[in-house]
Amino acid sequence: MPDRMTSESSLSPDQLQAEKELVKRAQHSPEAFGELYEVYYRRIFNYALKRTANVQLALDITSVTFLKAFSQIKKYRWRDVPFAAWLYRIASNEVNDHYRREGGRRVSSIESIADLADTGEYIDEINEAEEELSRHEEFITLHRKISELPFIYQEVIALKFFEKKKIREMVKILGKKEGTIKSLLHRGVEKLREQMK
Amino acid sequence: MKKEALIRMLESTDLPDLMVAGHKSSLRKVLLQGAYAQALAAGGSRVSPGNIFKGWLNWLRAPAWRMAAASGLAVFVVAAVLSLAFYLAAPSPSVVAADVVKRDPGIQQRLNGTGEIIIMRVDVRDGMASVICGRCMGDLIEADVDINVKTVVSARRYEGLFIPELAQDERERAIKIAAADERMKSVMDRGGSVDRVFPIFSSVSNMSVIGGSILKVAPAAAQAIVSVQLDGKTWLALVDLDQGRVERITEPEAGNMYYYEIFFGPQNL
Repeated sequence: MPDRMTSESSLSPDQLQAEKELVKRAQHSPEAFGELYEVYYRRIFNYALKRTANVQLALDITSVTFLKAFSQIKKYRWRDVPFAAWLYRIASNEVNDHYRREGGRRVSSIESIADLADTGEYIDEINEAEEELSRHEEFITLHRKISELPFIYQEVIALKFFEKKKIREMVKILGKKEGTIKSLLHRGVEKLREQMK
Repeated sequence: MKKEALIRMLESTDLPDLMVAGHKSSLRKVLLQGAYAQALAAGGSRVSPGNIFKGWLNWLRAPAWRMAAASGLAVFVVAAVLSLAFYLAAPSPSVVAADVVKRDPGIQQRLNGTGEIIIMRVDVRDGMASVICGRCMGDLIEADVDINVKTVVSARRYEGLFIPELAQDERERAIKIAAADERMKSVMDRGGSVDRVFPIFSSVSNMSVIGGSILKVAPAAAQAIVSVQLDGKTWLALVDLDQGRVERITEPEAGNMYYYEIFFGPQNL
C-alpha cells in the first residue's frame, strides 16, 4: 500500500488502483480490511478528536466508524473516490449524530464494549492523551467557538483547516457540490469570526 | 478579529496528533478476531423486499426465460405475495435490536442485579440501532447494535436513578383502572390474571446524558404499567393514575414483550 499520509487527492492512478483492489479484497477478507484499518485508524481518530476535543469520545467515534465500515464494506461500491472519503463521512455523521442526540452537550462515555478488553488496560494512555490534548490551548479555545456553530459549518471548517482537505476532497467526503462547499466555508468562517468577537 | 487574521489562526493552530495504541490494538482484535468478525463471516447480508424483487426481475430478464415470462407471472405473483408476507411477519429492526440487547451477556453482566431488562428506547439508523435499557432499578446502558449481524458493538453505562416501586395503594388503583377498561376486562374475564405492575418513567424522550449521569429521568408516580397474562400471552396497559384511565394497550406475542412499545406506540416499531 502506498503511504497515505499524503492528501487523498494526491494519490496517483496506480495508488488509487491499488486501493481499489485492497477494498475489493476487504469485502471478503477481514485481513485485508485490517490493512485499511492500519492505514486509516490514526487519521480517523485524530479527525474525531479535532471535531470533539475529547479523547474518550473520539475513541468511541473511531470504534463505531470502523465497526460500521467493517459491517457495511460488502455493500461498498467503488466510485474512484479514495476509501478515506467514506470513512471521513461515517465519522462525520457519527460526530454530528452524537451531538444532535445529546442536544449539543458533551458526553463522557464510561465504557465501550467495542473495546471488549477493559479500557483499564490502556487508561494510562488515555490519561496521557488527555494531558497532551490540554496543552493545545489555542486549538481548544478555537474548538470551543467552532462547536457553537451549526454542524455543517463545523464539518467544513474542520475538514478545511484541521484536516487540510482540498475543496475537491471535501466534495467527495460531504457529497456536496464545490460551490456549496465554498459558500458553506465562507459563511462558516464569517460566523466563527462573529463568535470570536 | 479580522477575517484574514482568523484564517491565519485557523491555518496555523498547533493541532493535536495523538494516538492511543491500546485502543487501536483492542479495536483491531474486536474487528478482525472477535465474535463480531465471525458473525459477519457467518453472513450479515439482509434480505429486503427490494433485493428479492430485483433478484426476480433479473431472473425474468434472462434471455432464456423471457419467452416464459408471461406464463411464469402467476407463479411470480404468488411467490412475491408469500415473500412479502414472510417479510412482514419478520421482526422489525427495532425488535431485533431490543432482542439482541436483552440477550447479550455483556449487557446482562453490566446491568447489575436481577429482574427483567427493560428496553426504554430504540432508535434505528443506517443498519445500526441505539438501544437504551436498564432494570427496574439501577444503572442504564445505551448500546449500539449492528442489526445486520445482530451484535452489540459498543455500550455506555450511565449512573441511573433508583426508581421507587409503586406503593400498595397505587398498585391496587392501577389494577382497578386497568380492569375497568373494556379490552383489559375482556382478557381478565377470560381468565387473564395480573402478572406485574411497574412504575414507569415520565418521559424517556426528554432524557439527557451529561458526564455519565442520566438527568431528567424522573419516576412517574402518575403512571404505571399493568401486565396481564392469558394463555402464554401478555397484555400491557399503560395506566394514568392521575386521570384514572388506560392510555394505551399492547398485546405482544408471548416471549416478545418490549416495554418501549407502550411508551411510544407500535408506530415506532
